[in-house]
Amino acid sequence: MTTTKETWVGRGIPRVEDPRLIQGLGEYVSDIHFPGQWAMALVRSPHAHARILEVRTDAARKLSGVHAVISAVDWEDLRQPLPDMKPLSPPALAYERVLYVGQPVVAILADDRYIAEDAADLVEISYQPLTPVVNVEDARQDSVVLHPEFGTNILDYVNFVSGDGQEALKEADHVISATLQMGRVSAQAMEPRGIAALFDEKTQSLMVYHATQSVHRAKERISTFLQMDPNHVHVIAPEIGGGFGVKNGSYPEEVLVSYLAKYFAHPIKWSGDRFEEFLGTYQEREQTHHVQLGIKNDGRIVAFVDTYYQDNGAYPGGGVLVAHNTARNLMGPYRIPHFAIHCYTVMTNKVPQTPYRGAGRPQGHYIIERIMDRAADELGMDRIAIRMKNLVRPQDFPYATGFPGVVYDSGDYPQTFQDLLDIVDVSAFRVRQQQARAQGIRLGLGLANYVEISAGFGFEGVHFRLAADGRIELATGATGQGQGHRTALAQIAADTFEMPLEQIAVVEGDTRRIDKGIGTFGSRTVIMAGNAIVIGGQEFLEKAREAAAKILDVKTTDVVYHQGTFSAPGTSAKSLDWTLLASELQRASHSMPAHEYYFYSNTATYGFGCHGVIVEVNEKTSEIRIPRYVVVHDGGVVVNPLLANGQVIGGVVQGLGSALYEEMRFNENGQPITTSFLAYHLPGAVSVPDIEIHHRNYRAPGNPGGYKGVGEAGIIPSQAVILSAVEDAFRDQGLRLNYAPITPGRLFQAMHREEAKL
Amino acid sequence: MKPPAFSYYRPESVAQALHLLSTVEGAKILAGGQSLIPMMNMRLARPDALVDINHLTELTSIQDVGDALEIGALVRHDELLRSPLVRRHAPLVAQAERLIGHPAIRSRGTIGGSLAHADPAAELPVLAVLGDWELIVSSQTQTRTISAGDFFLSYFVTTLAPEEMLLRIRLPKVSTYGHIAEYAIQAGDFALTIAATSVDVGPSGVVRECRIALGGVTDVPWRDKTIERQAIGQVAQDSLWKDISHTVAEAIDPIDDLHATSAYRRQLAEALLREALHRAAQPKPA
Ligand SMILES: Cc1cc2nc3c(=O)[nH]c(=O)nc-3n(C[C@H](O)[C@H](O)[C@H](O)COP(=O)(O)OP(=O)(O)OC[C@H]3O[C@@H](n4cnc5c(N)ncnc54)[C@H](O)[C@@H]3O)c2cc1C
Repeated sequence: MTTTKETWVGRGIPRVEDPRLIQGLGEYVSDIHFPGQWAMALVRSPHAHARILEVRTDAARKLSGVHAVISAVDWEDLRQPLPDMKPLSPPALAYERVLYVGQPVVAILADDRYIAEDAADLVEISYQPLTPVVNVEDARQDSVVLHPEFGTNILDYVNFVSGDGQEALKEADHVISATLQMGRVSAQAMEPRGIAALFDEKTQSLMVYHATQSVHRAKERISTFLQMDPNHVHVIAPEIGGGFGVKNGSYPEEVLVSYLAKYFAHPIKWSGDRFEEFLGTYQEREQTHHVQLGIKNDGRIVAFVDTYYQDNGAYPGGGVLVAHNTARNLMGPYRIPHFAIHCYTVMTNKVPQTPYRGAGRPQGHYIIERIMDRAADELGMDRIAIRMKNLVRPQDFPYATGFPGVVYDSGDYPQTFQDLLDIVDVSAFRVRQQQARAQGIRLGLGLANYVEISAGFGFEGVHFRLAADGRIELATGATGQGQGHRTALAQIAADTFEMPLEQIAVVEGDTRRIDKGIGTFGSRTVIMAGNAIVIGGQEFLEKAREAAAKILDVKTTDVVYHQGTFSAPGTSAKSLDWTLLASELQRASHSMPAHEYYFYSNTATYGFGCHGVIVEVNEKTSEIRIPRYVVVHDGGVVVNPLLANGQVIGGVVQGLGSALYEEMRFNENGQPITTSFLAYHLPGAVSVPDIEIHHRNYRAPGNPGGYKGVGEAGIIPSQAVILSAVEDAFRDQGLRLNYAPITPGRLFQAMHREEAKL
Repeated sequence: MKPPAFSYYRPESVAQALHLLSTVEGAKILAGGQSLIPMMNMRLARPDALVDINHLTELTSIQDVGDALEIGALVRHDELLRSPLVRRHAPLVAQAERLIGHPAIRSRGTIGGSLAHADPAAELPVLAVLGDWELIVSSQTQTRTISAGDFFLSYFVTTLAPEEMLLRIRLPKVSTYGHIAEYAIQAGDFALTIAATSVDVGPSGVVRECRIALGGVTDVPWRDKTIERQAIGQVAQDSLWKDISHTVAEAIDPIDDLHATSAYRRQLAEALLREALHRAAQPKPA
């Protein structure tokens, strides 16, 4: 191995992707133009809950430039359930009933999107409105059941118990109770969802360009729905402008475009617009928790009991996973000897939930961190002290949280928290806070810890191949959406092969290039694909040595590989570099070395860290400004600090959105009323502070590369830490916040004890 | 998010534009397009025809006409922000422009479009009412001058008839100081509430003139001259601004929406107004 100084891993080099992307040369689904392609537009349900009485399409059909107007009334195949959404999958096009505003009812194919939308205006659908169920309180009563065949609105219930569970509350000196909620958020990637498909009649194969986080799973779904041989379905993810989890699941548009492109043997494209992104793309976060924390007089946690309801929308989406992952995160980095968790996923007449960046991690941490604040306040204890008292300590590792399969394994939580306190300089802050208050300015400090549980299931693979020009090409099914995988994975490979970065080419998101893949989500790619390179790379090298041995005419065991050169010391053979090896193999008509390796692992990684934020609240306007935001973050072995920082910063910014501004709101009829950026506020560059990041690099003991997840570290405790800080700013008034986001309107109401209306 | 089909006209003179407006059924003026085009894309506006006035150079000047500035309806936000004439004679406009949207929006959006669009949370309509601007409006058959106080009727509704076009806006030059204070959830967003003031304090420290206008609280820019008059003759000091702001807050009946309750808007109005009065009354360096 080369010395540490010379490794590529650990260097903050700029992304190899940047020159193309910055010059606008990246090719996204919108940039795919098949000759003569038709555009698809959808007529979406304007009702949250209704029976479809009649669909009249004649006027739309007659419009010049329209090729087809399609509804499930005439197209039986399109009543088929979407793949991968058991047990209650929606039909591709709504049939007989609609269950959320935005559900696709009619698909229109036309020469272009303008005409398709004109035709959409001409489709007449009569609905008989049914009682909409728009919150979990009503849904749980089951007085209106969304899916009568299912019998209840409770989609899923699980409970997790550790130790004596609820019983242990009896041992507590105090039981702190609270109802804590989170509103719905929408990911709003810069690029909306989109898909384009081309069917080749000669080969009977379907080529799909898809803004998806997982080409292989998309391929599986599409071939299932179309009942096609999977070998005839190819899915390619071109550049993707952000995914954040919501480009991962099963959606009607995916199978509609694929099915119709095959049916008409004509290329079809759907480029979702911003409005559709608000209506039809799955959402996240909305939960209500009824929590009890049992503690001793000294602040030690005895037991944690939580019953919560996730407002999942009308179908599973990917929501059950979010609900379960919430449970897994409820312990945070704390020692909780007894817990009882009751987790309900409840269906309502809204667009479904699916994992969005964090996917239960923010929810779980929001609950534990907020209830710890509450406990400290009620005991008259310092919010820092209660955390120090309960953090998992280094001597506790390996530490089983009591949740199945979760065993924290590395780092030093108390020391890292202490580091954060020192960096923030809490005592100096308290002095400033006092001084500021004397001048009518309210400052508040919020602190929270987190564990970032990543990977721990499935596999990811890499197909290695020596290309004709001597570069090593690595194809992986883990499709990036802007993270910079082509850089990070190349850095790992460059170290593995002791070669310059330019000699490595990473190919992502093409089902023709590697057989299997799971995809990029949940901060898993470097852990899974990275280790596949570390381990599989050695096996590929072995094959390359065999190939070199043939050319050098020596035994494989004689071939030594060092820094890009194959040689056979002690023989008369010359040495070969990869370029020469490639050309000699071609000249001799030998096959090029290639190898496919899959890294399987059920061992999760446990990054951790803490956030500290200072807020400045203007009591008169309810504006919350963020003068300082500090993250101390353990990401294990960090492949590229520049990229890792990008992930953490991006996560914090999205977290500030869901803590301060972002919320999908629905009226009493289940109409979403925040369907543009006029009403749904994302954090803007002006309001986002500089984010200070301090890395801690505790190698992950559970995988060869030592990698941990970094993609969610920034977003996990954001809601917790902001609400905590705002409360701290009003400590003298005992302000209590039970709902995230804390928008200016809500803060006004909390300050004035106004009846909750917003 | 694609607009329905429409026909498109590009007149080369005001006379041609007015002719089109009076003859083409369902025609609407297209200026900077920063409000109209998004509404068309969302199919909330469905004009049959657009009369694009972007080539009417007659409407692009800022002129000093003695006691006033005359600003062509097509002058862009960005130009208002930079123009030395505006900075000198209508400094509040230059100040407000910084609060309007983002650079891309300001480089297209126009003063005429902003006033004609009549968004209750837009800055320029508030300043128009505060500054008693006069709007010069023409149709093919007549030209009329409307004072800003009479121009705005309700949310997005003005006294403009479909065949009329706003040509120029006359801004009386100001010698008083003014200030605009607002609160928006994000920089560049429409504000929840806007308070604009102009105050003239005599050498003895006594208020000679005081004007107050609010945006975002009611369907049209809000102004009340009776309350303004209460300030006249009083000593310009914080207790006065506090009282006036409070009186205003009691007098208004703010709208209630998704982002702010009526009570919240009332508090915003009071706080922003107090700040805007205080700042306007600060002695400025010459
Ligand atoms: C993201 C975003 C943020 C924004 N933020 C703000 C903000 O903070 N504050 C703010 O004030 N504005 C804001 N705006 C709106 C912007 O100021 C627009 O410039 C303005 O509202 C309309 O001007 P326009 O020239 O673009 O008009 P257009 O969009 O072209 O037209 C608007 C309306 O006015 C009519 N019209 C235009 N010109 C004339 C005329 N000469 N005579 C008669 N009728 C006419 C049109 O027919 C149409 O009905 C924002 C816009 C966007 C897209």
